[in-house]
Amino acid sequence: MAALLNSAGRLRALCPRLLPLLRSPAAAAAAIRPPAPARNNLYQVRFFTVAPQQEGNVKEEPISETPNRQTWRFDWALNKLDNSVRKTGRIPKNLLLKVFHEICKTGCPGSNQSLLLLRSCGALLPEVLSPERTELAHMIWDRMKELGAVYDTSHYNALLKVYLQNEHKFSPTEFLARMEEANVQPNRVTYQRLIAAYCSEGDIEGASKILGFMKSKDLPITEAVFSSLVKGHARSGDMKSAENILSVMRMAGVEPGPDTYLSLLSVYAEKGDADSIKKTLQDVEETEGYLMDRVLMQVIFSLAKAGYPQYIEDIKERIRFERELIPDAMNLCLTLITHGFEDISFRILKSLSHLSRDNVDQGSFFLQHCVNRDMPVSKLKQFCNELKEAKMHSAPLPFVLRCALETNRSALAIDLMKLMKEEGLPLRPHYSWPLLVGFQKEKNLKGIFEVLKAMHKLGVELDAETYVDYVFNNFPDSETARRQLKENDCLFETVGLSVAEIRYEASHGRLNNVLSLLSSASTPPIDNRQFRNSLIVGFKSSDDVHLWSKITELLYKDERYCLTPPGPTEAVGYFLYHLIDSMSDSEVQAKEERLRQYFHQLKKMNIVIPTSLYSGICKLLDSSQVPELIKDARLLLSHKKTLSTDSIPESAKTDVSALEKKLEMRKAENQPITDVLKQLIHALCEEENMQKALEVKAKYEPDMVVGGYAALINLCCRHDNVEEAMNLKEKVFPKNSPVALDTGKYVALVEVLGKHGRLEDAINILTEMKEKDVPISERTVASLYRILNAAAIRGDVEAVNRLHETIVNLGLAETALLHSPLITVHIEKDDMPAALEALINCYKKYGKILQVHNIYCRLIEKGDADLLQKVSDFISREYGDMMALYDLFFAFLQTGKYKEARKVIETPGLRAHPGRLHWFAKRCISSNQMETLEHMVDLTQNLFECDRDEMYYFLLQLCESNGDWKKAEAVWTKMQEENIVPREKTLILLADIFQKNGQVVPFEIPKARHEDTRSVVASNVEERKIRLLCKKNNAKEAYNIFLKMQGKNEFHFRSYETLIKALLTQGFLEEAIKVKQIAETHIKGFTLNSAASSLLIISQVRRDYLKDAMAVLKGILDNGSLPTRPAVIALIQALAEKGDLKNLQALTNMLEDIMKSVGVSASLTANAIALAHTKNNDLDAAVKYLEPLLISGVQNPDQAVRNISYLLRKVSEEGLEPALEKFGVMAERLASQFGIYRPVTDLFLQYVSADRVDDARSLIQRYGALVEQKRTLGSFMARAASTPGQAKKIETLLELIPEHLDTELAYRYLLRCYELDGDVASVKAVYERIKAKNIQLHEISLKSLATFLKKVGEPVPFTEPPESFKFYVEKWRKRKLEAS
Amino acid sequence: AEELREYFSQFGSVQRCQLPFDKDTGFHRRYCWIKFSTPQDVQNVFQKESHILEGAKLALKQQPRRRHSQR
Repeated sequence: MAALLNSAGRLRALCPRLLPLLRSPAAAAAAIRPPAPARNNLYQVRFFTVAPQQEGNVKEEPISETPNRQTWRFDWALNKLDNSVRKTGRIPKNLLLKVFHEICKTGCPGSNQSLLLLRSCGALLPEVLSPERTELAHMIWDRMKELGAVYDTSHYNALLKVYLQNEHKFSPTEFLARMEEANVQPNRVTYQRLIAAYCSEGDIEGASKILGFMKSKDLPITEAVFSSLVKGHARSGDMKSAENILSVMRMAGVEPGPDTYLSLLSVYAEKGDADSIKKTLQDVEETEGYLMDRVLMQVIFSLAKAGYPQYIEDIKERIRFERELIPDAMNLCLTLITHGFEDISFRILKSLSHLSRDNVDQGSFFLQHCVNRDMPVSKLKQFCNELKEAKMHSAPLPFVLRCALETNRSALAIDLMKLMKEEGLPLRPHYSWPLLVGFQKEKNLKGIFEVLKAMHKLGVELDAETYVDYVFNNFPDSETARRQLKENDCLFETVGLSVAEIRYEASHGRLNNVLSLLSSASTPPIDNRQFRNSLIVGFKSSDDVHLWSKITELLYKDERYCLTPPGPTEAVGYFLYHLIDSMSDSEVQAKEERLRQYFHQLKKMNIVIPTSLYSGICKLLDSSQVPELIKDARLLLSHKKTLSTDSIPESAKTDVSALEKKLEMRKAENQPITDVLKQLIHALCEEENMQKALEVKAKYEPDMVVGGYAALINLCCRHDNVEEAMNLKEKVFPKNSPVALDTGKYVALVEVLGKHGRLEDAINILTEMKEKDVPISERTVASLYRILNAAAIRGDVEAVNRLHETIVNLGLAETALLHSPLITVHIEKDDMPAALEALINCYKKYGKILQVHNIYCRLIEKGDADLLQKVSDFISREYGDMMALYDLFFAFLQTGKYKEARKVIETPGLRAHPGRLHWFAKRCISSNQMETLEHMVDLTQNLFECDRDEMYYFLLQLCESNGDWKKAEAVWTKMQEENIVPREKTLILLADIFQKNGQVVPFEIPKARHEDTRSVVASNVEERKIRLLCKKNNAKEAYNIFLKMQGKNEFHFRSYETLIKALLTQGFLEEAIKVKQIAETHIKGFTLNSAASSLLIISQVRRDYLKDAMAVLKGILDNGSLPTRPAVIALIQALAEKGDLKNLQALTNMLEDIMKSVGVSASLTANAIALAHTKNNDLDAAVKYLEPLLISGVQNPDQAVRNISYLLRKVSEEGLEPALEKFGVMAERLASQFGIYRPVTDLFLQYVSADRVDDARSLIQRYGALVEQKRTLGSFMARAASTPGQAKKIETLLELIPEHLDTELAYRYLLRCYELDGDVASVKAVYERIKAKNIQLHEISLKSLATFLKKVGEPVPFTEPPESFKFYVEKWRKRKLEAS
Repeated sequence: AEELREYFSQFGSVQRCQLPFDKDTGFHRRYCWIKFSTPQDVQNVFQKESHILEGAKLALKQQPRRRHSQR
């Protein structure tokens, strides 16, 4: 995270900060060297950024927000840029701009965000020239300011840094004046950088002025300043003084570091002084032992810029190019290219060649940047060749081509293709696509023609995809395209072009053009599969059966379209199969009649298809619920069979005559014939030859098997021969027989029986189905519905009612749909009173309101106001007025009576009902009723609470399915007119429509984000409520609201955090964890901030969930944040209490580096570990562990373990007398043998606390020196005076060691103790004692005492200090500060 | 697409090789589907540790009954 903020000079920035901290040169060198030898880049970055974080952030650049309060947005932006820096050491300009625009879009940028952007405008943009970078910085500066960003010193400093990195010339005095004007205080860093600015101009005088100013302010002069001065002197022409700076700084106690040497080396480089460079480098190597690789890379750049390329090789050889240097080396290469030193850059690149891994190409970044900098082709060619020779890149030319295409450099791309051709590389049609797209977007036809010509000249034959997807859509149709291509000399007659023309016209539904293309003599031979799919699309969008047939005929008869062996029969068969397969059930049903005509026309044209495909088609027709069409499709079967009997495999059930012969033969030979007979019957059924099938059956009756009969029954049903079907059924499958037909055949029977009015039989069949328990699938239910509906449409009331009754009573099926024919039948018969009655009955019996919309519509059409009123009343009564009104509204809309519809929807008090509106909209969309839908959207404009965006979304959905972008555009305008802020979803759909129809999208397409804007708006109210309740400490209530809202909306991550914190504070751990889990599912990468996590830890510790608490703590640390002190202490103590040494040890290890930052002393963990040993009944181990620590603690003041008070208190409180004794012995030993008195003091105070006055007294007699531990005694008393009920402790001390206490302090605390206890009598008594002893009380004590006495209504026996309590505390603190 | 088909043919017979293009940019979408005739062919592909085509490393994923690769 922090990598970015510290990245600019990862290594260099750190050194000046570390130097003063580490005094010995050896230590300094060790700290600067990267952690050898396993150098992992990431780790390295971490290593360098964790340490200086506090220093850097607090002192150098005060950032107004602490890391804990970083906003979610900021994290996001930072992450993006940070990732880029971490992986590549740079930021691509586009990424920076993208983040910038995102931040702008969110409105007010945070202070951190602006800082982040500004900082990225310097050296992190190696691909951009310096002036442009500065310009970018200024642009961001101004824009952010407009958006309300508040700039502080850190921003000005960042800007300065950018100026320096970009070598931007500016006036430092003016800069200071600007800061002053903005009322921003410059700090040390500001001055430092201003000095650098003067120095880079060689203006030593200016630099000195500021330096003097810094000295007068007592600001420390760091290495950075000296480094600047080196440069300043050198640039003013005074090399002597420049070199002299190094000794000056040493005298000032500042060691020169890499920064200084970089300055020195750079100025040598600027002068072209190779000898001095060499000498300096040798010196550094001998004395300092720095790794100078990164510095050397900068020197190379300086040499290049100053015009001394001849010295570069020498420097380059000194650099050890290793893996972790790659990002820096890449940046050097990029910078060099940017400044026009591509040859030098290329040499550097080549020195990376040994770092290749797994043959992955190297140098792509180099080539890409060369393209971006508009390098000439000859240069590119040279680089490509050399890379290829060096085996660094396997396909440099195609890669460069890709870069050229990606950046829309069409001239370059074509030149590159020429090169590729020369090199013998294959050229592919799709290379032209990005170019064509580019010109298409510009609407530049000329460009398109040029590309076509160029590709032709290159000998690339463009394929059909090129024309269809990238050329033709620039023209209204392919004919215009052809004409214009011809006029511009780029019409190249190829198969690809012809295929494209056919495809294009077909998929746009212009079948007449397809026909003429296909019949044109100039069309070359093309396999029909090349355009089959487009043709199917065309067929589906056309209803012209005649054209369908004509085209199919051509496919069948014209040899050009049937090139592959199987021949036209198969080809057309496949085509028909795919055609029907691509249609949905409803499409097939809707086109049933047309398909029938089509089949008949094909038949007339003598077109036949193979049997296998025919059966496939039959299956499709059957599953689309149009079994009647099978008969018609059958017409297309070939009747001439040429194959002999023998060659027919047993399984084939096709050739009737062959089978017949076989049957005769077997019969004559007296062999069993059942199998052949069955095959014959099936074959006849397939041929739909009912007559013959029945004859065969009659002839061989004794040998018939069940399967044959079943097929026969089905055949009879299909042919409407209800008589025969029933006879057969009764004979073979009587009701009482256990053998059952399959479901489909029963249904077919019911259907045909119903059709012929044989209701009783139909009902019997249904009953039998139930009795025999035949499986009912969804398809069966659909069939049953179809049967009922067919009867309803025939107007056969009795059939509908009785069949329905049977089906429902038998429980064959249970779906509301089945009831609706009960009503439909009356509507069909136009008997509206009956329909209404059926409606009401349906509702009474089944609780379902069905067909009400159709009833309404019919009544409105008929103008039957009375009945209309009746229906309305009924609906009102059962479902409320609102539903009735909606029904009426929809019915008026449907029947085109918009004026009436408006009256209904404007009924006062009516509000939006999303569910109903959604229903009607979907209905309009699926039945393609644009006008109706438009009216609905229009009329609901003023409807209360109507979701306008949603309404328009429906309209757009319909536009989408019609591909009507013009309408969509009109909708878009309408939305603007109505001032609607569209949701992202809507915009995306709109953009999609435009794009799909080849239009330019007139707005920025939103990227789908996980923070959906809608939910933010919708949940706002609840979210605010939750936050408010949390603030009022009513976490439970907030939680309840949260649960209710859950699933409907997502919240801002802040709300989750607030809620979790509130829950934790009030002890609702489980609830908090639940919220956390929900948040984690909603927001990717959701993490609690450290304060909330710390609370979580404390709650978990309280509940004894130590393992979970450990995990949370680890999470905090992994995130790079710090847990709070109470959380850490709670966890440590809990683990100690449990005697859990293992985890305690693990925890201590985790916390090792951050103990100080968190504020946990080394003593605490040591005490905890000792206590854990004690709890494990291992006192010896505890002493063995603790004693050496206490001894060494004296010598190691940094991480000292000094006291054992916590340990003693715990063992004493828990009555672990042996332990107390053991530690007591240890403490005494430490005092007597080592003169370490702190432990024995702790023991003494523990005795005092536990009121063991005798033990305390005996201890003090033996170790009188412990009274010297004044500080310990003082803080003991202070702690006693912070909570009520501890006056006794101070009294005891006063009794035991009166002469060794600071009496004023002791009495002051004692007074405070009694005040806390509210013990008026004691307070007064102590005051008397103080007076008697003539002790001068401090003003703070007097003030506090006076306040106390007044509160309890006692007179104040002295003059109360006039100022407030706070005033005296401040005064005391100030004095103390001055004293120290 | 043809290079892909050619490349993967060394592991077994490629039934289908689809490299979808984005019509809005004219570039392919950096992934491609390859369907092999037999599961054994697919196993062959995974026998090789890394696949590099025109200098780019291919990331391979096996789909149930389908093969998928990304670059």
